[in-house]
Amino acid sequence: MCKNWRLALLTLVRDKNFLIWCLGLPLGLATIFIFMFQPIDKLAALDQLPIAAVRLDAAQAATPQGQAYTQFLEALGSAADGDSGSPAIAVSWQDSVQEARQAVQDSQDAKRPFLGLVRLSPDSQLTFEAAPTNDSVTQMEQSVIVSVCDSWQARMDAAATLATQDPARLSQSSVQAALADVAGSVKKVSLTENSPRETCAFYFALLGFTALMCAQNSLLAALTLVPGASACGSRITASGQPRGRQMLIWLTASWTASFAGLVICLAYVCWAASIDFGARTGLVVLALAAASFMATGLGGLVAVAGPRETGAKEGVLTTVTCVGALFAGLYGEPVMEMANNLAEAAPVTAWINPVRQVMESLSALIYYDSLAPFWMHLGLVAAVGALCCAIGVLRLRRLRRESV
Amino acid sequence: MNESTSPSAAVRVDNLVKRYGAFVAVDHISFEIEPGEVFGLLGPNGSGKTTTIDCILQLLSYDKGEISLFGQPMAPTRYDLKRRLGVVPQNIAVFDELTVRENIDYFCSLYVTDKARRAQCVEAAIGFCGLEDFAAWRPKKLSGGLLRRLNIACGIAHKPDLAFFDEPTVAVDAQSRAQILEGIRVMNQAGATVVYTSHYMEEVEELCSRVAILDHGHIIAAGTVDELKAQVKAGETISVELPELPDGLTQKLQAMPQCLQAAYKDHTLTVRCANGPHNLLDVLGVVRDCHGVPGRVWSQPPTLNDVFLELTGRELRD
Repeated sequence: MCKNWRLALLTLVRDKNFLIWCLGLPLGLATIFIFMFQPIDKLAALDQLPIAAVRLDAAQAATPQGQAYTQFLEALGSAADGDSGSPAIAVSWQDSVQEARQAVQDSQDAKRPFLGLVRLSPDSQLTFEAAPTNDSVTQMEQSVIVSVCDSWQARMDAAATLATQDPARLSQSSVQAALADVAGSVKKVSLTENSPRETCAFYFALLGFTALMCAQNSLLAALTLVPGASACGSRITASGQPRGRQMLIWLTASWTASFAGLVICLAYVCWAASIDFGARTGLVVLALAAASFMATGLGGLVAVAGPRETGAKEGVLTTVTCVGALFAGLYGEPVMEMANNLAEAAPVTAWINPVRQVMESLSALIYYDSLAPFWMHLGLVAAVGALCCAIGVLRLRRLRRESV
Repeated sequence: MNESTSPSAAVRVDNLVKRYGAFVAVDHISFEIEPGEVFGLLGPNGSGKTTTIDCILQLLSYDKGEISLFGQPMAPTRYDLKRRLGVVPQNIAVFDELTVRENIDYFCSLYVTDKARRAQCVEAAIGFCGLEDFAAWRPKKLSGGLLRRLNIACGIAHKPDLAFFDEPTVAVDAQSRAQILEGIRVMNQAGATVVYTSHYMEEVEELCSRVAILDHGHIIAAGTVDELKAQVKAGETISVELPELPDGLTQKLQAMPQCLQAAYKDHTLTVRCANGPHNLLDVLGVVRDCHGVPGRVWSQPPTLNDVFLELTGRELRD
């Protein structure tokens, strides 16, 4: 049986169909995606926020508020955020308000213009003058600076209130530290388990698409056993080995080949597109094992229960794969938006879409803390695979030459 | 070869009927094959030979009839019986992705689970079919004759008790054909029962101990080659090279009581004679009497084609 399995596997991996559809196509598409999605990733990335800051004159700098202002901005410009190790806000000191305004104006044609200028007014109010813009991303970034400034001003006001009402508390080191640590609170945080890229969904859809393309491999594997579909099918059917066992041998060989192909694609995508699953990498491999199992079952089922012509069987699988990939959003941003809207409006369309289910199981590992959604999608994918395999084996046992 | 434990026929087909819609491919066929026989199924293309084999192997369902192998009823799940069979299909049935040795090993592994025994079987099959020099080659690199030999090796590597050869020599060169027929003979001498289908009458005559002739799904005659030839009126066919046909020669020949037919074509006079004593001297005497000048002269004993021709009115290769 082991020999049988080994030679079946050898037959499948030496077949050019496997090399083309299960390895060449997904690796090629992933490479195209990487180049195609570079602008999207760049757009979605939160870069350093550049601001101009007005340096205080000697008199104002000597006041407590002036000292706090200078310390705050220096700390802001040097506080490293957890992800990149570089400051979230880049501060450029200017000698006067006029110079700062000029610098902001001059930078508007630059690659990364100043978002505005920060200054301390004579009445010790921290002010942010935002550069005029209609760009929503720039406006969002300006709102981050406004929040930081508001937070600092609120702490300064609290410190002033404490100084008049409870000077003893102000002298406590913990209170002083809390009032001073505005810059430390300015950092990028991730709401998810890992730091997903904006384009992760496309790569997951690609892996779902690849899994379904691997169904072509199991289609060919199962057709090998169908009498009438191939000369070998008749010879194997007439042999002394039970047909159910033969089907299991060929399907497990096909699953192994598909799974290996998917793991190679995953490794390439993770490396080339910098997708990190962190501690959940093992679960990703498990998800791909289930995905290739589903594809194997589907291919086996279509081989023994689909239309008579081999070309028509391949056509059925290709259609399922391409339509599934369409409604998983593989073909670009507008399609992804359409697929997401459809899944929201009619969840059943997502549940019956095998590509979408593979994609969802992978997304669940990145976007959810809980593993419950992952297990749910994984279970569905595995159940579909088991059902298809079972029907395929039962159907093959009844097949005769005239049945196909 | 495994020893047959049953004294029953190796193959018994009783009243077999196979229909495709209104078309009757096999029409109430019955025959038995004794262990150790080389049994020939002879008939033109479309006569029902392969359909009969496929029904025996349970690759096709059938509408009526009973099939038993080694005294036991055959069914699609009778893997114990299937393990004693070897199948060499008409179409080449090997994997293009595997080498010659891997192909033989794969098909042998469907029957033989013991690793050491299988290794011996594979090497023996490679030697038996003369594929030693090509064991590491992929099938696409093999010639038509070598492919046929590989097809046979895959079917007989496990040393079956009963082997089915379905037109194994189609489109092969004379050397490969002789080698294939010799191999089948050796298998049979080692104890295997062989069922051989072909539309090449010379092969069947040379190889088979008994023959059934099929036409339009019927067995129209069965028996040993000699028995079949004895069933028909046709005897020897005498051919005489004549540059010119003398007047009245064919009429005089046809007047002979033992002459069934006399015809002159392409400077050759062909005289088909009735089964019986030799007629060569009588025919040459008539030619001489008519002042004919014979060139080469030869006499051919009756063939299975003559049997088929007499029974159906058509040549076997029509």
